Amino acid sequence: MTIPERNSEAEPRLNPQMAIELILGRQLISYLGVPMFLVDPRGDLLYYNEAAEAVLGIRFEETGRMLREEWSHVFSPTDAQGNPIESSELPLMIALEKGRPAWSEMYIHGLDDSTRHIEVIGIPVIGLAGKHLGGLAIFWEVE
Amino acid sequence: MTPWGTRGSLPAPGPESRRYGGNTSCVEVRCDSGALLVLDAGTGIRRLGAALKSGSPCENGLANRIDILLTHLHMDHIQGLGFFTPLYEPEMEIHIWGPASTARPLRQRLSRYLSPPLFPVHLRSLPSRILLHDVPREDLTVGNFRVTSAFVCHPGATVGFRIESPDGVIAYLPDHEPALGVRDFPGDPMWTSGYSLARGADILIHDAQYTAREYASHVGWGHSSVDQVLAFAAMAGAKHVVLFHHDPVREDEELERILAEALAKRDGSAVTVSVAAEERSYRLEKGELTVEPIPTTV
Repeated sequence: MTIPERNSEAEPRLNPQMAIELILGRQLISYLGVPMFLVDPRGDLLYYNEAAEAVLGIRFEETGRMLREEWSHVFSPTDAQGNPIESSELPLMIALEKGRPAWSEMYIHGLDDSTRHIEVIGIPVIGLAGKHLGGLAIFWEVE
Repeated sequence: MTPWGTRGSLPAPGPESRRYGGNTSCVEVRCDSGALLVLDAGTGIRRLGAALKSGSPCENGLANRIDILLTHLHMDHIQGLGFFTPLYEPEMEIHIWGPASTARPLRQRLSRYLSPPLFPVHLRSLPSRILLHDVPREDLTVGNFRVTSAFVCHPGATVGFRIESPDGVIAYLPDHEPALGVRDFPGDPMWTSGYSLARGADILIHDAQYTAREYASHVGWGHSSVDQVLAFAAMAGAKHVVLFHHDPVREDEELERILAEALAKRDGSAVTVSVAAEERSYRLEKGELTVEPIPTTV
């Protein structure tokens, strides 16, 4: 398993500052011990916290921001039979697309070469002005 | 640009606040095209209304229009609204811009204050033509002003404003705690609240409610220390910082001491600093700033 190189395309695109909802979201999850993952409206990865690093098998500082196609491929999500899960079927993507929370169980292959059985909830981040700003995933390993 | 109220949280009248003023947040911004913006409607707006009465507020066809930009609906930013005399003049058109909410429209939230028992007159009963607008859903262009807004870090829905004109840029962030939860403030601009509003501003009017020592026991209250403001201004490339939203317990002498300390701490930074005082005017012409002396009659 190779560690993805930091992707300059996923670095900020002409946006000098994130919306306050995403800034506060990042700050909040950086202080929490529950694995969490923050994406922009397109689904590109903005940040995951230390607790998530343990599940994903790689530190955020090593991956940096990633495009949606990249992270959904890198962590190789599969169902119980080992069939790949399409990016559009991931709870986070459903949350972004439908504007509602979504849940599912899956297996991921971490970059430390370990396969983990996890549950994931995807939640849309919608601001007070009604703007869709991104999404948040909370996940945990199934005992 | 002229502040009419510089205080945060609560009016603080008295001999100890005579020089910098005791009214809560209100700032008048005008441009040569005749547009008049009023930033927040704290108790300072009453005297602004009286001053407008004595002279034409605007020219060039904008004489009957005033735009009031509310950063949020905390009491110290709306308490003077019902005492703003243009609201009682039928020929006036008053646009009130305030933070959006998915729960209740701005009119309904503002009416919680502008209705009995908190205030004797209903918002809907005021004689002027009042139009309410949600920000940041809408941007505003009036006269030569182009105003953008964005939500910023402060408890409750709070926006900051960036006002651009051919003569320069003013950023207004009266209640703002960009350092909240940031381990090494100031960090990455992209992840800093208010950065896009303050970037390269000629004048940055910013919350400076606390000293560094006071901030330590007020983390999460939604305000900044003077040190944080200077660091934020340097990061954003602002040229002049106006320390604003003074704590109600702050006396004139303390404000002067805080300013002296701030100037000493600039550490080679090109940012210049002043303390907001009621009726002290700031004039921007083609990017050149003139700061008038503090009037002695306040």
